[in-house]
Amino acid sequence: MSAYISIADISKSFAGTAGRIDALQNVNLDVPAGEFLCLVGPSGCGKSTLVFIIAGLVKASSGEVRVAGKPVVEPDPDRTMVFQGDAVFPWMTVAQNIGYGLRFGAMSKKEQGKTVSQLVDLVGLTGFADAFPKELSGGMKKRVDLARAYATNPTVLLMDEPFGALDAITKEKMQVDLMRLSVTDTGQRRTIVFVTHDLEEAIFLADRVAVMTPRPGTIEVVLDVPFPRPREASIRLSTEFQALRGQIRELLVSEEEES
Amino acid sequence: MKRNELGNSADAVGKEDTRKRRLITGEGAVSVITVLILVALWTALTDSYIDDLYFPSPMDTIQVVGRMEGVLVSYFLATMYRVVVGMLIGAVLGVFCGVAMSWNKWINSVLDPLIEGLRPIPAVALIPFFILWFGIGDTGKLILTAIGGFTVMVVTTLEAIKHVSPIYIMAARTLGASRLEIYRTIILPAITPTLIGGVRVTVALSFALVIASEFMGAQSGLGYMIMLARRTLQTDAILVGVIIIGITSWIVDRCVRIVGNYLTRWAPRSE
Repeated sequence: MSAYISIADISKSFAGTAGRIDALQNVNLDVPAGEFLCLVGPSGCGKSTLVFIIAGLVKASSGEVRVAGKPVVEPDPDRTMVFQGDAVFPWMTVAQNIGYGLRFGAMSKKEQGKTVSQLVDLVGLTGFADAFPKELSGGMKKRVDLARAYATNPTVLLMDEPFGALDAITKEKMQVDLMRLSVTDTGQRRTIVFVTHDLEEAIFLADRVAVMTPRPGTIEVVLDVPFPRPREASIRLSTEFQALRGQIRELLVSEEEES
Repeated sequence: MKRNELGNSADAVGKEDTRKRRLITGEGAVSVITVLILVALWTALTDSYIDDLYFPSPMDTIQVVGRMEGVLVSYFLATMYRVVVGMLIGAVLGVFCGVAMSWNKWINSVLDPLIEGLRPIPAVALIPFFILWFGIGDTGKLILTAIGGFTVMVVTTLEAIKHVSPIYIMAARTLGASRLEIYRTIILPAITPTLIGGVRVTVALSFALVIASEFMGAQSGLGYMIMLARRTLQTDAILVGVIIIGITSWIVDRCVRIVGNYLTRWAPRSE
């Protein structure tokens, strides 16, 4: 199992108003190519910080992240990200948002337009290409965000609680779409690191779930999710699914008690 | 369900349009009545209690416009030229410097003390110097107006850039945008709504500065006309000057708002 993303001894501390905050301490984690990894942990455990470091948006205090063998020093459109908040640019139309990452690449204007209109259809926004984000619902904006992150055809997709603000039904739909879309143009599976605090979401989506400890965050355990793909929404009701959910919940509860 | 969402909002837009197409709305009618009452009151008061010397009647005022027509147009154009050109120079330089200061900390270190030193001084206080240096022609007035607009716009630009949501900048970076592209495609559009507000303040300030500098030394312009009329106690001419300035300032502000609304048509608005 070769690591596509390799996280080695990452530590991060911030200068907070109440002194130094150690967000992450000696995080080690390997993510093989094509894996869907979910990061769960108590709030404030640094799971978002870890994803920002992989994206190249935040510099680690020590340690190194390598993606495809190369150390991460800055963001790269081969590693796109979907944020927790609304990051859709309100001054651009849906099509302009989705095509944003393409204008910096080698693709011709005509090809860009074609890719964008395919993505608009793929995420179910047909007919909204020229709408401004203010005309869209929260779920629709998240679809724009997803399509924009897919547009550059990245091998790595980083997601920081992307569906946290959505209602339960919209969230389920988005999860199904995400699984459907998580392959590259060449049919390869994308490597995805997905932060969530929703355990069902984590188990439903992931190949493996990494459970983090409270601050300073580190990886406590990585659990395999054995369910075959494609997964139906109904697997959430199975005994195995609920047993795994119970196991992760126990881990988080005991962490809470220790700290 | 998605279709419905758009359908409904399209309906809402349709309703708004028919409302706008009606010549006069209820609120509009009330405003017109207010103006009519004021004019009636003005006529009544100047006919009875108030001496024409202190405040002219509506008839006198209209007659003055007829009498002064030619000179009025040339004075109006002189003032407008100073306001518009001075304001444009100042606003463009202000936005440019604001962006440059946020782009590079060295540029910021050089310009910040200059701007902070200039900002607390009311530009009108500089008029005597400007007359001394540049005479009573257009140059001094344009520079003065430009300085006023510059200080407003540079501060507005800097504040606006500081408040651009970091999430947009981070998203652009992960998608491969360079620093220059982030300024062009993220920061500039994001600060536009705030800049429109700054331009509206600049319009009002520019009129004030041009009129004040025309009071103190000029050979044309509405401010010059008011000063001349004051010396000869022609209150009707003073009032005409004031009314023209008021109406023009309102029209320019209106234009800025229309252009601004178009440029920020993407922005959600609370009505």
